[in-house]
Amino acid sequence: MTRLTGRVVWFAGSLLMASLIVFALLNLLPGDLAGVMLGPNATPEAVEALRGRLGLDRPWPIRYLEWIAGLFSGQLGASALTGQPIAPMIVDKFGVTFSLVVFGMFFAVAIALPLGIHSALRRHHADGVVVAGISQFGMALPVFVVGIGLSLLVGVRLRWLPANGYVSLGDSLGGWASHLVLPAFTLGLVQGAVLVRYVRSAFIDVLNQDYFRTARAIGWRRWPALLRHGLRNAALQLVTIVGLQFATLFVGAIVVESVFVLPGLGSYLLQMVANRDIPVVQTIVMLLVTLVLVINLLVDLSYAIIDPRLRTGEEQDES
Amino acid sequence: MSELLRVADLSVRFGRSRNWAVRDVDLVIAPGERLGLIGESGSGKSVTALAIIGLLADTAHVRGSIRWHNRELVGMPDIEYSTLRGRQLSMVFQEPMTALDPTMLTGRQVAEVLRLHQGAPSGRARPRVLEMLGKVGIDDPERVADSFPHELSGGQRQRVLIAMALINTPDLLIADEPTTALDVTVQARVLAELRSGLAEAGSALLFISHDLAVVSQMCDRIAVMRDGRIVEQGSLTEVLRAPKDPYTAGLIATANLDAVAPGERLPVLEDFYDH
Amino acid sequence: MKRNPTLAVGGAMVAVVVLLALISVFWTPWLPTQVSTNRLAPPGAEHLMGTDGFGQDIFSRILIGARSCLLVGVVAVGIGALLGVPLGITAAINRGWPGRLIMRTTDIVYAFPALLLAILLAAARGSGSTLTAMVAIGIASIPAFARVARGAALQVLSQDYILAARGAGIGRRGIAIRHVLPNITPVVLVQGSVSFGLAILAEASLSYLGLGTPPTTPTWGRMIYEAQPYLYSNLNLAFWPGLFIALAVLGFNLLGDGMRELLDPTLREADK
Repeated sequence: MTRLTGRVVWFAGSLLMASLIVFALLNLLPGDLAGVMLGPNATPEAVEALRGRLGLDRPWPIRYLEWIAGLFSGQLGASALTGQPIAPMIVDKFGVTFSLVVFGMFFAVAIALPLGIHSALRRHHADGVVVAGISQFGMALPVFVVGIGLSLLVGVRLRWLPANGYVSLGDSLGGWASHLVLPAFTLGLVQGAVLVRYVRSAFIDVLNQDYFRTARAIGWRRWPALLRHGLRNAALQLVTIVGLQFATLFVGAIVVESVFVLPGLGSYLLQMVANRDIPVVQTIVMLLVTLVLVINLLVDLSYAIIDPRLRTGEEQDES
Repeated sequence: MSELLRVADLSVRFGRSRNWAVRDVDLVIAPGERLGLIGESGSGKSVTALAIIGLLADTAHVRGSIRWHNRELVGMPDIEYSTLRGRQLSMVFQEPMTALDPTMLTGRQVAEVLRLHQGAPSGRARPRVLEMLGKVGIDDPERVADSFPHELSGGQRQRVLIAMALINTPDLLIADEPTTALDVTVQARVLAELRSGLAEAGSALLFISHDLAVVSQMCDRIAVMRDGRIVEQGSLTEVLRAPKDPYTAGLIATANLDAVAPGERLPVLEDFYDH
Repeated sequence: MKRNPTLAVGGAMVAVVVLLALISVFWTPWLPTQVSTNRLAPPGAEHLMGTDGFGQDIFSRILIGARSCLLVGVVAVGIGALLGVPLGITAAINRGWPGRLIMRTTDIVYAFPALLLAILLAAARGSGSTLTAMVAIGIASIPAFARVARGAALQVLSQDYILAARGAGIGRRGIAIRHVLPNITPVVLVQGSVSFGLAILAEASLSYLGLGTPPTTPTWGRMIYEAQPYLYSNLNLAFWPGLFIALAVLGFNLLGDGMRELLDPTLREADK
């Protein structure tokens, strides 16, 4: 089996497993779903009616298959409580979360790459050690603390950017961007602090490689040598980390949306959890998990682009 | 005598270590001259070489003087040093398997040395690259240039690295055990190609090795290093005939012994004279 | 200790948190849930760190908060290690498809970060609780433990004395318990320390989102959530819990790094 088909088959298998996990957690745990949804004060009649409406009296494999079929056909279903179709809502809110995550990753890389390389190059000097220390401290701060701090400082005290809220892209490009900068920067700062460590160790690795010494011996200065011969080689290590971090970023986005009152998928998810609207929760979580798995797949496939040694096609070994 | 390189009182130590890895080393290399630096591993040969090309680790403390064309190299800012490396002063290392960037075509890596110092556009560089690869004994330069390092053998990779080191016709090539990692049969060919490449470029050579037999093939003068110091130096014939230091005498006595096939006579000093 | 400042500093920070938790078992200056009319008091002699919007003593709540912070960490790391380490060792001993299947399956869990799992569990149970938070964080940390254990176990299994043990007729289970487990314990401890820090962070986020420990038990994350209405005028309420979360996480991260250095001294001078 070639590397490519192997990865794609595994991706499909992972999706299947993940959907079973999501479904099982929400449907098969002891306790009555309709009862949970309506809360402790519901009358038995109301619970029974909801069970009927959700089809909870039917066997679970059928419910599972119906749910999956719905996801594939784009029929994401309707809110169990209001009866409204959720697809348009999700598309709308996904846009917010996605921009947040993409800009967040951009900030994370923009922060971590130069700082990480610098602290790798200067690891024997005070400034390199200080960068590593700051990264340690940044890693210890919860994302909501950073968000609250930035919102207070930049939004309230300095008034450079809106402290919270959201303007849609259709209404005003400037408004949209200015409302996203601070949340995305929050996300990027926290993620960047973690990333700095990995960038640093990946580049220290490169610095100890023979080919880096060759690059220096032919006349490259340190930074150009690192960028030209180090970046690609360090990327082999870093792409895995960045891929894994997307999962953390989506989760971080849920928290950041809550801090900055952004109408994204995370806020929506929390709202639906509070409303106990299980079918919607199930679909949103599956969507997020799918995204994470897709990104992992892309990361896997990108190795072959970065590393010519993997391009020959055959699976090398289990990693 | 005109001088290319004069190393005087060079001492190097690392980090907080009290021990000097290299102590009070003096060396002179004239243009076109071939000096062999011989000694066992840990004797400070490689550290001396790295000090000359300015690629010691950050933690190194260097004392003394290294003059290159009458310019002081010790303490020279990296921006200036970098313009010398790969152009006037180049180096080939011991381990060819890992010395090339695994993610870049070898041809591009050779062309890079040209472009870096001569600003030649990539189109113009290619014929020079192929020519150079041919000169160092690569039979199919086109294929090798369009290969990634992992697709080449150790001998081919070391030839590529020699091509990179010689393509700008440097004044001095430092070769640190360049054939130690290669098969014995390949070793002899690569050494021959290195000799002809050097002759054509007119470069001087600082050849570092632990193998007296190899050094005697490559060099006109030798310096013997032990425990960070140079214990003896002089012309090859002089040192081989009348070693002053007992360590050198021991080296000579044991040299080449293990290269002798069973049944053949053991080498005598005469063997080193004409080659 | 002098040789390894990372370990010493990390250990000291963790010790502070443990000390706070221990003190809270025997003594708090005020009842942590005792409301009073003395609201939003600044730090002073009576209330060391001031009071919150309900007039509750912040210092007392910080003390109690240390307890839930450690509880969540211990339980979550316990779940992660107790399930992850055996999985990793099994995968290392059975190198063929069973091992590969185990590792690939735990990889799927990577797609469910702690927070997402906790949200799922909270939705399934109707509301979040300390238990759902701890279980979710614990499950999410299984793959990290499995991976670390497998890597270390493979290294141990390649040693000569394992061959000797096999030759002496000791079975796989015997080798796993007698030789592999003791030898990989240090590496697992390092991972435990790192996971402990991550667990504290995840629990804080969950409390902040209202999906963790219910309001009656003070936690540091929850305290920041409750401080939000007063942030513009009174930063004091969020400052203390924020400080202690950072202290605890930093402590466990440094402790992990320090132990790693201890295991592999080359790391500190990781170059020539």
